[in-house]
Amino acid sequence: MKPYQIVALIGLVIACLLPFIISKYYTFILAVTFCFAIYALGYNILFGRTGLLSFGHALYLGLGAYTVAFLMRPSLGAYRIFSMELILLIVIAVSLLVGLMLGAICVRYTRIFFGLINLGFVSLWYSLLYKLRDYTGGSDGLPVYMPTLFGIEFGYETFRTFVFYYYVLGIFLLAAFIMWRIYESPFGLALKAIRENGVRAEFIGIPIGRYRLAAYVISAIYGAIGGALWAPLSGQVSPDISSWLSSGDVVFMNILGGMHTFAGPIVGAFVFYNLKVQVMHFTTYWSIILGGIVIFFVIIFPGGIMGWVSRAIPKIRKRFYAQKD
Amino acid sequence: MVKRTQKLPFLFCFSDELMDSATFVIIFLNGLYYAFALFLITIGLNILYGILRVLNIAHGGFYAMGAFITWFLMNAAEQAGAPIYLVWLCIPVGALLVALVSITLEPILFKRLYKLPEEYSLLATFALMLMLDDVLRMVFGGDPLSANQLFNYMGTISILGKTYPAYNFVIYACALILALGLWAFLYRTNMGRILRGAAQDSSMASALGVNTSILYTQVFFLAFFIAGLGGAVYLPATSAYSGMGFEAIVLSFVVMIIGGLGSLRGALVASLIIGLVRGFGIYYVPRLELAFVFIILIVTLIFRPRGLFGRKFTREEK
Repeated sequence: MKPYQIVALIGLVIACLLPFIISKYYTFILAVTFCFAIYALGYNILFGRTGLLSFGHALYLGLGAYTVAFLMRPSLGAYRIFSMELILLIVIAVSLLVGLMLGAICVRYTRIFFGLINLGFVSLWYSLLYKLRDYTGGSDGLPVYMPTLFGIEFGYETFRTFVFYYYVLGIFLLAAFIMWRIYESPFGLALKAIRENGVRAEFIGIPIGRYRLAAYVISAIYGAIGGALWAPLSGQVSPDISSWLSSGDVVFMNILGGMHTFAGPIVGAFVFYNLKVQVMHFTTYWSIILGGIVIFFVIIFPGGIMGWVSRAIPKIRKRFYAQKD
Repeated sequence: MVKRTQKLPFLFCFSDELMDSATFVIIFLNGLYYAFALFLITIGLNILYGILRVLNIAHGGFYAMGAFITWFLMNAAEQAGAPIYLVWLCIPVGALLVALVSITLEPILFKRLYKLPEEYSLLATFALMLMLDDVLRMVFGGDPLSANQLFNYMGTISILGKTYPAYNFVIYACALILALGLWAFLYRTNMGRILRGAAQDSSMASALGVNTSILYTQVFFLAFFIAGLGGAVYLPATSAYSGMGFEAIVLSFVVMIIGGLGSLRGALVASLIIGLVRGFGIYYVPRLELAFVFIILIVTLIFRPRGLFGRKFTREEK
């Protein structure tokens, strides 16, 4: 086994055992963190891999969350859907469609234009969520009821603090595994080539438009899945989940963790969200600390935490071997 | 019978059931009111982007800072019982203070951003925006603060039989004078020529003996001053509240893109378009008012990504 596989396995075992050790509250927090980890992981294929900075990815987070709320609306009567698996399939289909439509427009641009057109879309979506009160509940949002997992209904507390954690963890593992395969595939490497130099990538025959679109759609689906899993945990969806500030959060997760590494967004989501929860316990001025951290990372460590680790490991190893000799 | 409607925040709008020319004029003036706020922020953004290639999201924060600092000054002036001309003086002094405070950020943060790719500068300034908003909330509290001595002092005037606050005309005059002044500065003075030259090719400008480092600091000073002035001049008509920078900056980006990145003419035309769309949108379809703005943005980006007056892209930029 390779070292990173051992680290991943240890991490998995710890993640499985944690609900028995930590309090119910932290299990809940951790479940939310895994939702954001899926979201950040999906965003990374666009930002870290393909080099497209989007300031509007909360659109898909909100799309997933609102789809869940819509499917559970009491006004649907007999057609309400509570099966989480079915909901996830519908969410994937919806985000695939929306991602294809918006992506086809967005990927024609790069650099700040890509970022800003996404900002335009997310602001449009946000204003619609906010203003079309009859359908979306306006600023109050919509309630989200408890879904059934594999056809089984759980009690409120067991669901939110125990069962759903494992459910989210399972989907996170599946999502991470698929993303890993994508990264290692020729397609994933082609995306890297597009990031490094789009013109040259085009010269060697990579259809950069279609590949960018594919990356966009993948990240859209991951974002929507993250949002769909987050919604039942939160119990309520409101337009704030899709504001452009929330879009900024996922960029921060990627920068913080290290956007050019696979584990970066996952680490970033963990550090970011848990830091946020901890800091918010004792101060409401969370943005100052967040902003300071981000500026620090952008200027001093553009590689993020994992970028720093991956540079530090060879050095440590060298020193270790030098002592052995 | 004249009925008062409360559709526009902080503005007076008296309307009949039927649309008449007076209502039209009022809505038009309200549109200008929105437009010039955006214009004052967007020209700062455009100057910074045109010359330094820094897209400064934090600019909304400096706009908010202008409102808060001016509130502090006006409040102090009122408590000291200062005459009204001193209260007028608070506006330029407030803007100047914003510029003086913000310029300290230039060597700490902005100078380091020139070398980084645009995406990073976008991120760093976004983070700065978050910090500024929280700092303002920390210092001035979360409640909206209003200082409307000047607004009350100016009173109202009658337009075609409808009352309209006279102070708004101060805003229009201020924005137009600023636009003309900037145009004259950039196209009729030596300093303006140097600036435009540095915008095209900064390394060539420094080779010809221009101290670009000092020049950039001056550019920042100018941009911060204009943003602060925007906040200061709008304060008497509205109020200073936390989060005002966020609201302003998103719409300013829309204006910036529609007008073309780095173009002053574009900023003026596009802010008028967006302001009027908002003014009329709020009146007729309040629910979709913001949606219209972003639809215009998206349509512009699809059919003319360089904006109305933006320069053409090079091959690398596509």
